[in-house]
Amino acid sequence: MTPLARLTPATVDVLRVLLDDGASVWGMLVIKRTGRPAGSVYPILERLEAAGWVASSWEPDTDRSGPRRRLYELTGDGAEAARSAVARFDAVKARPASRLSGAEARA
Amino acid sequence: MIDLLLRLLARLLPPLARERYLEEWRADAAGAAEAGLRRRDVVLGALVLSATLDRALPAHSGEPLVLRPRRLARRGLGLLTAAAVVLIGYYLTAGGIVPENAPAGVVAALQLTGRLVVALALVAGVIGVVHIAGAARSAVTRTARVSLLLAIVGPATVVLGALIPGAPWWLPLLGFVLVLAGLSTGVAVLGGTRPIATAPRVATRRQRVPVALGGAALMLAVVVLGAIDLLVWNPLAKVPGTDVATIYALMAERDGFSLQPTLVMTAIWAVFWTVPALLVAALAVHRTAAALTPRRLAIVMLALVGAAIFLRFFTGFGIGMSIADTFGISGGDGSVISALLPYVGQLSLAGAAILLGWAPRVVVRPAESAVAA
Repeated sequence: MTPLARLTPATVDVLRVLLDDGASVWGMLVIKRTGRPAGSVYPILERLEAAGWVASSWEPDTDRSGPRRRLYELTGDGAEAARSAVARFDAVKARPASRLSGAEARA
Repeated sequence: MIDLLLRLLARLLPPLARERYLEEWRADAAGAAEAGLRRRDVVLGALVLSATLDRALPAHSGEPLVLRPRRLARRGLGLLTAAAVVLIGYYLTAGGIVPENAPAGVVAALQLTGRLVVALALVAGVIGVVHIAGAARSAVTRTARVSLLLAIVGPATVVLGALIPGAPWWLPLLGFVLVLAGLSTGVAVLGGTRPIATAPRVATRRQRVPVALGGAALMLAVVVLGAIDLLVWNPLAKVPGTDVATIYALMAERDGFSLQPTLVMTAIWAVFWTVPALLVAALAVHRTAAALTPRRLAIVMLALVGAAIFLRFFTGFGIGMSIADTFGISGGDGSVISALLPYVGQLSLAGAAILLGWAPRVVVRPAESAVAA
């Protein structure tokens, strides 16, 4: 598994969906749950998979005919790294807000 | 319509990623409504993915990382060589041979052809630079990276030094030094510890025969037209209104011209290039020559045709000079065929160079790599 070169808010949203679900998620549901466009989510999933954070597989046999859906889930190491990355992102995001509240408190 | 777009976008992906993403996108498009999304969202997503996907990733390309810079460099060098061949030809023919006493339409058509060929060469040069820059970016060692960058900077310096008015005299010289440095470091890289991968490639007889026969036919056409032009059409174009027998008689009288040595030279030229082309064609038609793939055949045939046309200059030099001395005119070629053949030769050599660089990529399927490991 390789570390991500950059952690964007969209990547964090994708990681959150995968962490929350815990199981394999269909790519379209990741798009829906993040509220991000497919043009943003597809490349993120591809990068996460290339980096070894995420593994994908075809859905098991269903009654539905036609092309198979691709399911995504965090790998063991990926889940750990995702939790840490999301926590780090939240901490960084929270920092300016706490400074602001401190300033407001002084005022 | 959506499916067509998805199929087109999948075609832009590297070999091993195509099937997987096409099926994924099709399933996503089919179930978009179920997820509360629109099918066109999938197309937009596929569009962005096809543009941003990491093409170098072995899982997608099937190509081991170490082979990528070599493949790109080979293609880039092929394209740069093709551009150089055409531009040198353009320079040697002083911007293209202009036929004498030919209809204005023919002259205009040939000039347009010349401009198109040069434009194609420039486009090939730019694409070649992009390939070499890509190879330098993905090269493993610093020596390889420097060598590839010199392959861009060297020729660019030569071109700038030659084209910019008032450029210092040493600029093209510096360019040649950079090219030599790039070549020597390139040889050092290729002779390094990693062996160059080769892929055994074969072709069926049905695939080989059309290229073999086409190549042989092209060579025969060039030799027949080139020989007739040299002995008949070009003298007639240089001295209009006079028949060939009179032209030869005047040349013999005023310049001591003898037709026999020119006939012998022309015959040697024709046989020298026709025999190898016919031998290669015969070999390709034979059942056992499976390794002569259409690409390899085309490289050999086009190189032979290009070389034959280039060396026709020396075959026709004596008769050209004699025409010039006898009639007090220039010794340069003046017929339509003489003007056309250099373009055929340049394009043949350029095509051979590009095909030489354009070896198919070595694709290792995941299952095979697992077995190999």
